Amino acid sequence: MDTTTLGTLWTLGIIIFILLCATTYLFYAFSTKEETINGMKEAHKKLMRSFNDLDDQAKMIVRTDLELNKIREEMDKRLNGLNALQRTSRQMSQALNESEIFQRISPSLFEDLGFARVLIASVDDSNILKIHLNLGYKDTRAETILKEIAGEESIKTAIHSLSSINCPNKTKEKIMRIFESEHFIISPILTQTGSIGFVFAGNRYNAPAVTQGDEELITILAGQIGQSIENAQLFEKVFRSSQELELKVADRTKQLAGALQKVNDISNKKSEFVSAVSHELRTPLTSIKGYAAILIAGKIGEVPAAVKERLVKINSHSDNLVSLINDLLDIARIESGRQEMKFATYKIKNIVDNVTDLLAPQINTHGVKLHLRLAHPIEEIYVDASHAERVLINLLSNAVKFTPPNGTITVAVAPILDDGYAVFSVSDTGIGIPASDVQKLFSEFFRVDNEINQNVKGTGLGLVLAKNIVQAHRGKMWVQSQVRVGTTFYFTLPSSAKAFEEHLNLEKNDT
Amino acid sequence: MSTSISIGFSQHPDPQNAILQACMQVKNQLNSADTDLIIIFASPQYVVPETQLVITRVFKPKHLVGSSTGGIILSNGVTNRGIAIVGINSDDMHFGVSAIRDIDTQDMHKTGFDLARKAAQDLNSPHREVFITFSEGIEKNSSPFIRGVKEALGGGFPVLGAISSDDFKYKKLSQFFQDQILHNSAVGLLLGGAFHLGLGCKHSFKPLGRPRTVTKVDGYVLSTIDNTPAVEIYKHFLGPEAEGLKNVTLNSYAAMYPLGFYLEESRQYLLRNIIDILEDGSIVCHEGIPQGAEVHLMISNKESCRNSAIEAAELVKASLADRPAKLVLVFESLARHKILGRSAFSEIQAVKDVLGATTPIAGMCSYGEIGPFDTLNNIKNIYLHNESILMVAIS
Repeated sequence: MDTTTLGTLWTLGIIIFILLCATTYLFYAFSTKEETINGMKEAHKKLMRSFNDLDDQAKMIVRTDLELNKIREEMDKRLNGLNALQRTSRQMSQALNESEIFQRISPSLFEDLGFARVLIASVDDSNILKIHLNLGYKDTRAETILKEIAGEESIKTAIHSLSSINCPNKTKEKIMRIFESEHFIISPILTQTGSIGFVFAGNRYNAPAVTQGDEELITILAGQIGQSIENAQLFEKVFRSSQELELKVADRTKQLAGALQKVNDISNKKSEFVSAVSHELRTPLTSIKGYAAILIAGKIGEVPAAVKERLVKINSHSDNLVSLINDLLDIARIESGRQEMKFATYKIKNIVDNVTDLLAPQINTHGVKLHLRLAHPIEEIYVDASHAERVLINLLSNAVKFTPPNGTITVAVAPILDDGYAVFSVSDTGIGIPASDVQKLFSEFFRVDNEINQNVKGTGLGLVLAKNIVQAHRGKMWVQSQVRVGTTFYFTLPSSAKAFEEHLNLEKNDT
Repeated sequence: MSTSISIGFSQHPDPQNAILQACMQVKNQLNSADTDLIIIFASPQYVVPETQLVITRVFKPKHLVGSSTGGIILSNGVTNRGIAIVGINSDDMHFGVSAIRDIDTQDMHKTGFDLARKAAQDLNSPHREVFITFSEGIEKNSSPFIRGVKEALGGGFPVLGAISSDDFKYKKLSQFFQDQILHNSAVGLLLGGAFHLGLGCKHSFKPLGRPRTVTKVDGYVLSTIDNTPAVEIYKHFLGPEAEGLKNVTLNSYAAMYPLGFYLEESRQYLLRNIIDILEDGSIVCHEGIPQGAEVHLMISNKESCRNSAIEAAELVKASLADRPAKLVLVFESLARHKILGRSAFSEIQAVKDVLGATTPIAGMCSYGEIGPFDTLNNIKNIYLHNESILMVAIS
């Protein structure tokens, strides 16, 4: 072979080799691409499966979520309904009459429960159904509904006895037609005397169906209305009785006030009479005393001893008579309110000391012991000092009079009471007062029938005057006594102007 | 120079008495009968023709706006019945109000533009800070409305608002404007002057399942998802319960499981409540979802609702740089309120824990909230949100 042929063969060989390599490469590449495509197809399938899985998972999520939302919505609705029902019940329970009860049922209660149509009706005194709440109906339509119900016995029965959800289909259809509502609840308003009306709540078409929960709430509401009506009726009865009672009390009070006024008038007239007579008596008595004194002093010549003795008696009796007249005048003045009281603040101890100093000779002569027990000697009282001293003088002189020698008299002042009054007491270990006489002690001219009183003169006005003075201070006086043990007189006097004013106002208000 | 803000509230069964009671609370706190601005939030039972008559008997309000609502938000919680009155007297703030009636027959872009321009004319000050609207009807086509407002006030201007609501029945929606009660209207309130504004807007929902694609849309009617009737997404997840979505409006499971579509520009999910299912299986949404959008069924719970409220409050606090808020207006989805149920108060409590126990809070539960995502930093993109909580603080 020549070199040309050899070269050609070499070239051909190389070409064949290259072709072989290319074919091998192409074959390899093709196989790889197919693998890639297959791989991509596989990946796509996986992706699609994942997408579909994702969709299925999402479907499950949505349906679970939907269920949960339904439950939540129902719970929200029930809770809203219960809240609204509680609000309404509270409002209704405060109502005092039937019409007010219905006025307090807010339409928002039914809106919260999801009802657009509501009728609440009850029978009036003539047993005719009357509408109290109308939501979603024209007034004329609502009246027509009541008329239609009146003619349908089956509906009346359904209203009064059955559950709306479970009532027979025929009745349900009638109610749906009359009330123009696809979903509804109708519940009777019951009282002890039976059914007096109904509560209807419903919706037109395309609204969610009512649930057992809705029916329970409406039934509770209807029951609550019935209960509130009964309560209102009961309240009205009680109120009427109380009004009648009040009228009777007012009438009796008026009668008593009239009688009291008459008594007061008579008492005033008596006081005026006593005052006038006393005045008239005092002038000639002063002359008698004057003349007797002149005669006793011998200014118009000596009088015989026997005459002088009689003149002294005239003078002494005149003194007694003046004292009696003065007491009578004081009592009359205090009772009629003409006595001017000069109130001021005084220390209790000073007042007690003044009186005991004044009566010290009498106490010593009589041979009795005097004890002072002043719980708070520095405490003060708000009184007319001369009058307060007079009370104490009267009581203390009585105690001296009725206490045998070596007996004990105690003047005490207890701590001030919550009402701002101080309690004074004058106790003795004297002969005591029979229980039957204790009540009469503060009557004018009363004197206990005992040996001492028979021997010692008195007017029977001292205690009356003392009590009147205490009362003029808006205080009280009372007595405790036991025969042969002793007697204690108590009286209260104001500790301050404030306490006195408070008692005065209280008295005015009572009047 | 001062600003006095007072909030009155009453649930008296008689609406006129309730209005009077709320007014007297405001008047006593403000200590004045002249009021620069009154904002009313009232549940449907308290929207009565005498509302403004009673208010003008107590005050002489220069500006009055407000909305009906299915839930009144106050410092002590959320209630679905009553009337709240916010009174503001200020030397530092200026107010402009406006209203456009019968908006369902009008071009939304023009409505937004006219509403903002009228409010600006009434403001009588060059210092504009924020625009707040209460409306009914714009939720079906909010994008052109928002565009219109921005065109009148500026592209980076804060536009916030709430869609009027009622008790989930969509029958008693009202807006208050001066001495009138309007329906099917948009009311605007433009605030200007020297004050600081804080904002936080959050929702608490997470996407569920694999992403799906919106394949056919006609306005706010979502016809097909992944080429099957749109309702299938609900049937798939809810099973037989999906039947309950028909004719029951928002007061159903729809509130708990809105749709969410991913927004590339904001990198967040924007939520859409469904309000009806049509016979052909199409879903009627609050505002449309763009064709081709990635859509998910969304889910939330009480805890994440509360957490999102805390996050929103923290954003407000941060944007106020810890200045105390004189008033926090809260616009929160009524549907969220439904999820929270009886624990709605705990959400407001959590907000107070962040903003301060004595922070005055007033607001309403709405059918839609208008604002940016999160904070004022995202003010260029304003959306109609569903299921969200939006807080505006004035300091």
